[in-house]
Amino acid sequence: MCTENEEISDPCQPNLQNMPIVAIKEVLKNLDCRSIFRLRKVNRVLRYSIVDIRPDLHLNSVRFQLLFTKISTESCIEPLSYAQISMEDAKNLLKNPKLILNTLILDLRFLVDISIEKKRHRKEKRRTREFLRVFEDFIGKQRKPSEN
Amino acid sequence: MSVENAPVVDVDEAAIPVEKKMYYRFESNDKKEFRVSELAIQQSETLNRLVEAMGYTSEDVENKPAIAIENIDGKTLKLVFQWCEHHKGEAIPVDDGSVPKIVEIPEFDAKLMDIDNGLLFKLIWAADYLNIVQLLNVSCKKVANMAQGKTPAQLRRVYLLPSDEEDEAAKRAAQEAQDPRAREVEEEFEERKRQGGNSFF
Repeated sequence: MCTENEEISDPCQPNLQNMPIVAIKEVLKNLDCRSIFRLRKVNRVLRYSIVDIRPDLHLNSVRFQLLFTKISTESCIEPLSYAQISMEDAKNLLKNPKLILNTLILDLRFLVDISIEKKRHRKEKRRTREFLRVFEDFIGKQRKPSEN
Repeated sequence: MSVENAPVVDVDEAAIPVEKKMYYRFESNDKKEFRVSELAIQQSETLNRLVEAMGYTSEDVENKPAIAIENIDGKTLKLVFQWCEHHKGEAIPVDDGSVPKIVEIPEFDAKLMDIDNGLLFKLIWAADYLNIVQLLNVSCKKVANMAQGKTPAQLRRVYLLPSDEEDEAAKRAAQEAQDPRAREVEEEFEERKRQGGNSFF
């Protein structure tokens, strides 16, 4: 990425990741939380830039819902499972030092949704268990930082 | 390039006022010349400081060479000065820190930025370099709007970004161009790994 002091004469390709840091910050200010998290998955360079910038998400309430959509799973971090990717997003969100939450909700309603066909239900139940295991592990670590 | 032969681009002929006002001459890195009003220049903190420091008179503007802007091409600079002329006299906005940032894109700006994405990113570069706050605001807003509802793969296409694989391939190619032996070493290393050797050296 080009730094704040770097001049336009730098032979960078004109694309988002080669923009001056001021411009990337401006773009991030105009994006909602979901878009920022999708942008993180585009490639490593952009992800590292966003990690460095730590954009202000201005959230006071977070609800984690276990929805299995193509958008949420598509990523440059392909070897990771759905649960791992979700957990990475959750960790990155919760680790943001600018984030001050009034409420944190983990929505598990779909677990008792009997409208889903049995085969799909079994598959999603397995994924959910995996997610919960990682989430529990993460919350546990947050409570006991000295044990990390 | 002499002043007579320069391809002068009049940014906004109709806006030339009856009373005598100063018009500065600027030259892009591909030798395109632009005449820009003093008031329009005030939108750019960088150019405004530059012309103030130069202290040109009306005669100086005509007789001295155009002020060179080495880092920006004519196509981009034309858009920049069109924007400055249209918004001349307007107050420079101050960032109030609101997130998501509230930025309205006026119709004129939307039409001006109806360009390919590569040129749009060059415009952002130029707005940042010349410190034109509101142009940076609206162009970044446009870029942000392009992200709405897109998947990472779609974002990669919209923002002209390489995937990690493409990025690594480009880095390898650049490295090889600098050191042709690097590829041979890498292939030798891979071959030894395939043969089960633990140590390369």
